Amino acid sequence: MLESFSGLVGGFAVAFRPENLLIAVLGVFLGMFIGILPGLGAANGVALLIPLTFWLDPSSAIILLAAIYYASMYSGGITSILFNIPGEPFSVATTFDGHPMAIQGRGGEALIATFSGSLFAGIIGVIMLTVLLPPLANFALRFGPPEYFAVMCLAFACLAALGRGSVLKTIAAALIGFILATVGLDTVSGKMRLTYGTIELLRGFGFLVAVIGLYGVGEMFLSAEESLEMKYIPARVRWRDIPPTLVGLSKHFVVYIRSTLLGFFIGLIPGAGATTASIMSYSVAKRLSKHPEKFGTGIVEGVIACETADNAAGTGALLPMITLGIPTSATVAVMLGGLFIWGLQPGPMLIKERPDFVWGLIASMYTGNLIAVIIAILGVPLFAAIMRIPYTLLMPVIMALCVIGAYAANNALLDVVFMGLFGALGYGFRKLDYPLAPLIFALILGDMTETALRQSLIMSQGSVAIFFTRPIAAIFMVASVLFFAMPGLQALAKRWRAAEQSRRSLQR
Amino acid sequence: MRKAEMVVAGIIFLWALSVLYETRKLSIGWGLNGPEAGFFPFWLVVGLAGCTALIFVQAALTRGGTEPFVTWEALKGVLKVSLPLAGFIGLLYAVGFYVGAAIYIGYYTRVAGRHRWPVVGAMTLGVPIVIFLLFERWLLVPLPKGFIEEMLGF
Repeated sequence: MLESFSGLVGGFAVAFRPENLLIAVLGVFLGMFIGILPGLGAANGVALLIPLTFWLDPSSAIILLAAIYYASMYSGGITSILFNIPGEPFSVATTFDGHPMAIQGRGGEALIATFSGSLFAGIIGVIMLTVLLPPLANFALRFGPPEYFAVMCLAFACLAALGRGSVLKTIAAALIGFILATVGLDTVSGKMRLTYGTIELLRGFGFLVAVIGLYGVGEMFLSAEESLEMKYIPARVRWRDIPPTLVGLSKHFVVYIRSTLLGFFIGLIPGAGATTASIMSYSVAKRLSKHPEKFGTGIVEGVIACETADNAAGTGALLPMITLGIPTSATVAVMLGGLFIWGLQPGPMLIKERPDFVWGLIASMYTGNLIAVIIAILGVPLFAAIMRIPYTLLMPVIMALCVIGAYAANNALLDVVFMGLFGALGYGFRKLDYPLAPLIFALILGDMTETALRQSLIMSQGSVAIFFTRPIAAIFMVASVLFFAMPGLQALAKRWRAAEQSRRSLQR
Repeated sequence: MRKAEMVVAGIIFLWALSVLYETRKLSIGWGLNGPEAGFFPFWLVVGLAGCTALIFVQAALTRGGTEPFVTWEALKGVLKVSLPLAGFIGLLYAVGFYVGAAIYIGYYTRVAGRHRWPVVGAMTLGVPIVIFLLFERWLLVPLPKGFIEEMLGF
């Protein structure tokens, strides 16, 4: 606890530096835009900004990216309530009760519920991060290559178990990502792999290009399938409305706390992110409420449950990334990639070697959440106006930004071509339920995973048993096997139960 | 949908085979210090080929749903976005970013967006200029340039 406190004090010294405060404000603005615009998601937005962080100090750069990340969770709810269109996937559940509230003229109340929930979860989440960070990092100090490999297996296994697509497709997507990660120069043997004899592929596939293509361009192809109908219900938050509304909302204090805890712990699991958390929190709130049948007609608890949980999950998702180097969602994976680009190694040593980076980030999240809630309240009319700009004007500009983002990483036009190809791939994958997250994870983590595997095998002189004889690694490996098998077991259980039922009904 | 599943699984399978062909240059076996360079690509590709073969078989065996992979209406929408983008990427090679972006934005806002000429003009001229000031001057990120910029002395 003492370590947390002393670290945090040092962190605030970093966070309150004038340039970092400005950067936090800038990040919050950008994050809010990204959260609102369809076709520009958090993963894509963060990826676009990474090339621009080259000239920033890493601790300032991560403050910027993190600000974009959690600010997008504040604004996603705005469009859900006013337009019935989720700006981000995790805001879908907010439309269930948020938009009906707007139709009933209670849009201001819904917005206040959203922002208060996000702020509550944001602050409590960062407090939990502050407290849990040193113990978890100390635990991770005992990790060697076998443990790292095993924990990455577990991360992929979680993706397989929790993903919507079939396990086969998850594995296939991950394998494609790993294969793409091996293209280029092999650092261990010095040989060139999979370059098809070209010089351009010597560099390998950068994950930035892949993310911008898969999530940015691919997303816009997908949304091009249908024309977006905007039904706009105007609403704004007036400062004098806030105190009485907050008093009214405090009746639902239990929903705030429950959603925060639920969201935070779901956020820790790779593959279960803000989207899962917000939907689960909504279902739990509905089931535990005294009037479940009213959910969907404009019950404020529904709005509180979703928006609190998604912010909590987003905050919790950072814990494994900082302490273990394990991404929990695509956006977090991109931030992890940013760490690699800036020359930092995530994991327990990061806190010891660069406390300014880690604690500066955490401290900036306290101030950033406050900045975000103020900008959110003030900015509702502005953001609503932006949504009413015709999509055909916004889309080419967003595409141009994607092109710049793909080009700027390596000054290579070929990367832009790859971006286009990844865009087509992302579109096809989304249509056929091939999950994208494993591909991104594998692309970013591929090198590290392979190195961990090779080092482990060198340590054990070729024996695979090392993953099962070391206790921590063994637990992770066994858990991975279970998670991989879970979907198959669930399907079997379902079929067995159906067979039982039909047999029983025949007996009658 | 079923046919599309099988086609895509087949494409990935063929891609895996092509990667397999490329790995023949590398040694696949186990060296003195653990796996050789080609070890992982080889087994990853074998795994991928196996997965896609299973996906293919799974798709072939499921009784087909009748929903199409993509309706003609939806596909038209996607083409309206993807073809101009492909053109833009080609323009990047030919005339550089700024001229290319101007043509792309002008084309898209006029033809696909059907906006009025003042709006189209403002976007076509304004956006590249703003991007120039933002990226070239302020953030110092150079963007590809073509012969027109060279003639103007940039």
